[in-house]
Amino acid sequence: MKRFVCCALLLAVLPLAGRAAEEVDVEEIKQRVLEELKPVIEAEVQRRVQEELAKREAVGKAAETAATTPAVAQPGQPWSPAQSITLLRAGSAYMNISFDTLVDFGWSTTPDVRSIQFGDHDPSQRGFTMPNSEFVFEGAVDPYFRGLGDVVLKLDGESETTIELEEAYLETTSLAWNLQVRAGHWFSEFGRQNPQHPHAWDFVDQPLVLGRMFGPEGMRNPGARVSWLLPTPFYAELLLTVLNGNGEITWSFRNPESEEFHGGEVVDRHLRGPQDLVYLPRLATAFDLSETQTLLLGAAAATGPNNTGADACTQIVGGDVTWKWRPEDAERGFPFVKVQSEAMYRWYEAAERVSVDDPLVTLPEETLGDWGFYTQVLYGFCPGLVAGLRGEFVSADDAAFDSDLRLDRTRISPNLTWYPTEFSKIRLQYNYDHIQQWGDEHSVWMQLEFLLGSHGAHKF
Amino acid sequence: MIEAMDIMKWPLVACLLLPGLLVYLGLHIVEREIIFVDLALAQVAVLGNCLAILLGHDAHDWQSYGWSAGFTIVGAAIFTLTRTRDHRVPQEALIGIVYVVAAALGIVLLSRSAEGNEELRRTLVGDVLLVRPGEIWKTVALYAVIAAVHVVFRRQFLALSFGRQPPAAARGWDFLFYVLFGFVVTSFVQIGGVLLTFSYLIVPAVCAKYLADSLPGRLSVGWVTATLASVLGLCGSYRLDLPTGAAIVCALGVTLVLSGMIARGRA
Amino acid sequence: MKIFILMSLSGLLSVVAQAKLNVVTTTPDLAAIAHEVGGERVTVVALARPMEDPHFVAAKPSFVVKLNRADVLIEGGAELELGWLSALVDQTRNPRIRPGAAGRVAVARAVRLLEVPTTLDRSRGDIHALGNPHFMTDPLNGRAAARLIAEAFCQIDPAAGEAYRAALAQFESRLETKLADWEKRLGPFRGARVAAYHNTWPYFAGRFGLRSDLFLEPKPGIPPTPASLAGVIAQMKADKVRAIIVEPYQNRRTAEKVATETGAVVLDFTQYPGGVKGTDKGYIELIDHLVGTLAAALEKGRP
Repeated sequence: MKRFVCCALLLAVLPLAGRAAEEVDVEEIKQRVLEELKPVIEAEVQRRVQEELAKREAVGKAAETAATTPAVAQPGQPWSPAQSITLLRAGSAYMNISFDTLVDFGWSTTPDVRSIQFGDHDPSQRGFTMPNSEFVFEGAVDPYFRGLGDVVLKLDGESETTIELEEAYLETTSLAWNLQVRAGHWFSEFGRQNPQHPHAWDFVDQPLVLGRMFGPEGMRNPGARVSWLLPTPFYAELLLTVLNGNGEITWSFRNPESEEFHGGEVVDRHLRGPQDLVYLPRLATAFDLSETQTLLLGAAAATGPNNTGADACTQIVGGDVTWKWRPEDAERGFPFVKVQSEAMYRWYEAAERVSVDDPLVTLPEETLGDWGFYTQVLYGFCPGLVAGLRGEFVSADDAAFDSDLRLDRTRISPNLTWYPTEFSKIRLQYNYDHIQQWGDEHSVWMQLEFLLGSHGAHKF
Repeated sequence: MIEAMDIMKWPLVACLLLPGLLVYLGLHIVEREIIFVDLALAQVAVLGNCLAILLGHDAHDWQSYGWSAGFTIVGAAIFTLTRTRDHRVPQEALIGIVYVVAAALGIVLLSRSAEGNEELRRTLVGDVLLVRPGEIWKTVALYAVIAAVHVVFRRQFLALSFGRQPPAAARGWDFLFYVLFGFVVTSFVQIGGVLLTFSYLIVPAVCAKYLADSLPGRLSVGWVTATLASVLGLCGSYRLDLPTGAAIVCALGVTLVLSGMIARGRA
Repeated sequence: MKIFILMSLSGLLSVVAQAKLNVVTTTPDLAAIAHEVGGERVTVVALARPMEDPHFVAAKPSFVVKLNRADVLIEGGAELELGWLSALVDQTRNPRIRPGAAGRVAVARAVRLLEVPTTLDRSRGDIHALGNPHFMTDPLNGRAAARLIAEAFCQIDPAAGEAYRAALAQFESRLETKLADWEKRLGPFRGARVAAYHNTWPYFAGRFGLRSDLFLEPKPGIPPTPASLAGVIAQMKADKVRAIIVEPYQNRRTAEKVATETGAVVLDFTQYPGGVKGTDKGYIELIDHLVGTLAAALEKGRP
């Protein structure tokens, strides 16, 4: 019994003792374990710190590499992912994309500015006008062709946006026998000014004679053109364009608005054959008179049907002369002098037609003759500054219908342009307009322009 | 065949590209019934050349071309002023007189110069076999410009020759017609000689008048005739060893006979 | 008889026609090198004039005619001709000088370009996307250009390969002799700083151990303002800069003003043979003139 109690007591105490011993042991074991793990922990901490440091260093190095990788692929160097694929760089990119905007601001003595500024890209109201914001896409399509697209946005008098496809064409780059073919829709090559985009004009508005012959938007139409570079020692090129001739953009041909100048009902005319297309031949030549002077001479004509009658047709002829002078050591292209003049004459056969104003009156068959010219002189007298002066005159012979669009007009426009760089300009122009029967109008216009992106070089 | 092409290549190109405009102008000339105006204008241009040679310039200098062109314009003015509706004196007679007087003046002028005779002979006979590509392309360029003027003003020119009602300022358009015609004729005479020029102008136009009535129809017949005769003439000249210009003229004659027979057969 | 005359005439004509290669280059320095390598077998025409600003060359219609007849077109290839060349080539209807054709030689391929930009942004002025394009001012780049041009000539005209290689060897040996002489003359001025109107001279400066990093233009293509000029003058005084380099188409009066303020001398330099008197004999003579003028100016300025 006693033995049992002792054992029991012992047994009872043992756990207690054990617990105490345990308590003592746990502490001891903890200590011991801690001691054992200390180097391991230290090593692990060390390793993780190293890893973190290395990571930070690697990131730093990568940032450094990215900073010194060239923005564009160098000729002959391998491409690196840090470089973007260039779309927008001229000369060695897939295409040039540019965006060019004109802003006009000014005042005129007439509140109806549209009546004296006929062009679609001219200032059209007192105050601010946004006549032209154009996107141009241009580039090599493949080894055989080059393509160009030109989309223009305009704000009209009520600030509504109109969008227009001005040009979209394809052109060959290396045909045999010095030929070149172009097909699509583009500003016809008649004279020097019609093919120019409005942001490249030397004056704020389009010349009166172009408005008279080609309408407010210039002459352009879907068609095709073949051109031949002549085997002469001087530059001479023969071009023949064939156009459809339909619409307001061929103002003197099958133009649904033509009643504005001939006063009669228009006739529906469809193409009966190749004789109903508009043909536009042109001869362009250039002569280097000396190292510093160049003379360009050109002649062009356009012939095609108009919609006053089943057999009526229109013929336009024009000539242009340009003279440029620039010294060899010109600083950024200045000083220079440029003189340009164009003259045109139009025979417009108007068949017998019913008058629009009074259906009982029949207007007789007649040929309307219109003519006009402009001359402009530009003097770049100081790097970035150009002074210009333009004089123009348009007239028409008498006709059965008195049209507002055929009045005699004279206009003189001096202007001054500042080009901070080739990509922006600020222009100030004064127009003195003398219109037969209406009197004199005065206008002052200021124009700003900027170009974003890369735009191909303009023709000389 | 290959050596034939080597020698005949440029004459063939010239005979295929250039007569096109000559055929069209020939239709005008035949309609106006002034067949010998081309001979007269060519002779007047040669007179200009003779004067230039007498003044000491070389026959191929630009001064020579200038004198020649100037005389052509004067000749055109004469023909414009003499085109009257008055049928007491047919215009053909006046043209003949101009031709003869110009020829005589040329001989008189050249009697005072050493190389003139050779030049005169060359103009009359010409040799299309020796034509150079540079000459052909320059002539093609000139013809393209003149053809463009005719396309643009076809209304006025066709009214002058084919219409009953002449256009406004008829004298002016007539003068322009003769000036352009003069340039076409004198430039082809440099290549092929007067006989070949005259043949290309008149023969296809006459064939066309036999076989067709509308202008597009006549143009087609004329072009086909000229092309066929050119190819036949050049082949014949190579095979039978004949002078090229003469062979083509003979071929044109053959086509004229054929057209006449077909027309007679149809009637 | 006539046939015989015709055949012999055409044979003669073809021989004459084959003799000369029609070479067109964009700038006169490339024309000088093409002339050295090609000699009598080539006719060389440069589109830009020696005194003309290569960034603003007027692309006249007569260039279309010259390019139309060209067998070889040699361009810098570092976008110096960007404003005017590609639009011109599109109009020339000449498949021999299309990009990638054997007759189209872009000299920049043979050269390592300096100052390649890492971002493209027009607010920094008119910068060149591929790097500084005025690499021909370093005579060793001129040698690389000559090798590339000779290779192109040999490829297009193999019959005259011997002549081209011989001319190239002669050019190279002359260049190497002169190079030693130039390094001797400019050796005493290693580390000297020179000012320039536009950043045209880094390759020249790099070859001869000079520093060309001070410009009268605040940004490329932007004309100097009074404030920027004041900064330049201060730097020139601090570093004792003795020479201001100006090219024929740049505003000399601005450089003269800075020169009077700082006591430096204005040097008439040019990248192209013929741009300045005494440089029209050829490429090596051009570099010789430049080295001589610079050495004389720096010598005078030595205390």
